[in-house]
Amino acid sequence: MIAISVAGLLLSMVASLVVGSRVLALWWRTRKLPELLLAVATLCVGFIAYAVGTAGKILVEGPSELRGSFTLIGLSIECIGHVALVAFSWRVFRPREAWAGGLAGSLTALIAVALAGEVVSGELLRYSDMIPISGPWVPFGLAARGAAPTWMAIECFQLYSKLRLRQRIGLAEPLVVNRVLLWGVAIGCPALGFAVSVAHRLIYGTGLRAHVWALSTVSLLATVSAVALSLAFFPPKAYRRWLEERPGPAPRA
Amino acid sequence: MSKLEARGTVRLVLRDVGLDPSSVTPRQMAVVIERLLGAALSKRKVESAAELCQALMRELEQIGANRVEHHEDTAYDLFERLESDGTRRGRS
Repeated sequence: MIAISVAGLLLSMVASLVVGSRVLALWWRTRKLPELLLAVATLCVGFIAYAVGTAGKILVEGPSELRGSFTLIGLSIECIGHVALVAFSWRVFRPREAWAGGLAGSLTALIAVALAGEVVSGELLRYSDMIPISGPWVPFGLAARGAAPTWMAIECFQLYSKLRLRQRIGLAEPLVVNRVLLWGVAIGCPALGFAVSVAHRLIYGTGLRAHVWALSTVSLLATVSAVALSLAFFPPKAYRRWLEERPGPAPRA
Repeated sequence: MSKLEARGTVRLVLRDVGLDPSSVTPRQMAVVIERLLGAALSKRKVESAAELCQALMRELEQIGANRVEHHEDTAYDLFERLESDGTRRGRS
């Protein structure tokens, strides 16, 4: 069961690496900010942070300073990715709305404060060992970082529901409408994963590795996310045909 | 139908197809007028709804012709671009 769970997480890392690199290549051609933000978020959160964090857990058996350094580097990279995701949600979905700018600033500040709290309190090490937490910083940090994918997922689902209506009168392509839904699912799954992590920390104090059910839940979410991300960026011919030929809803009179 | 009612009708029709009055483009508005507004006006017992829509279309064309279209990159535009070149080429 643990092997299957690890496989799910690995699949998610590979999907993030491949799609993130391709979005970065897309940015190289378009030079548009949203592509850069999305590439940074996908690569940092989905691949680099995981890779560094896991390396710290698996490879470093020695002094806690070294493990702490690995964890800090991984967590800092993850924070950069989440800040990029927050900026993406603001610039892409709500560029003209003042409240969205305020929300983006607040979330960025919360992520930074949480990271500082985790480092100063020493609770940072609880990500790489099995000792239960002894303060609020870890769940607070997880919640602050989890807010980034949560916001983007909500925006994707809202846009999807609008585009479904536009599709009825030919103002949106079915493939693009579906892509918005898939990105919503791909980003919504990690958001749920963060919720599971926060709940687990609050109940048991330890990381998800302490319980197979928790690890399996997050692994399942990671697998769904990887499949959605891959389908969104590399839609197979048969899938595209199915989307284009599927009868759309009739316009309301 | 009063100005307020007319405005409300247009807003409702736009909402029904997921469009925002503050960001609707002339092209989107043309599709809405052509495909939905006539029916919405008829439903509200507006006489000669078809002629009214034709007049609106003419005005819209003029607005479109006089307006320098500065294309704003929307969320839809971004998601349209977010696809592998390989699958995009296979599509075209």
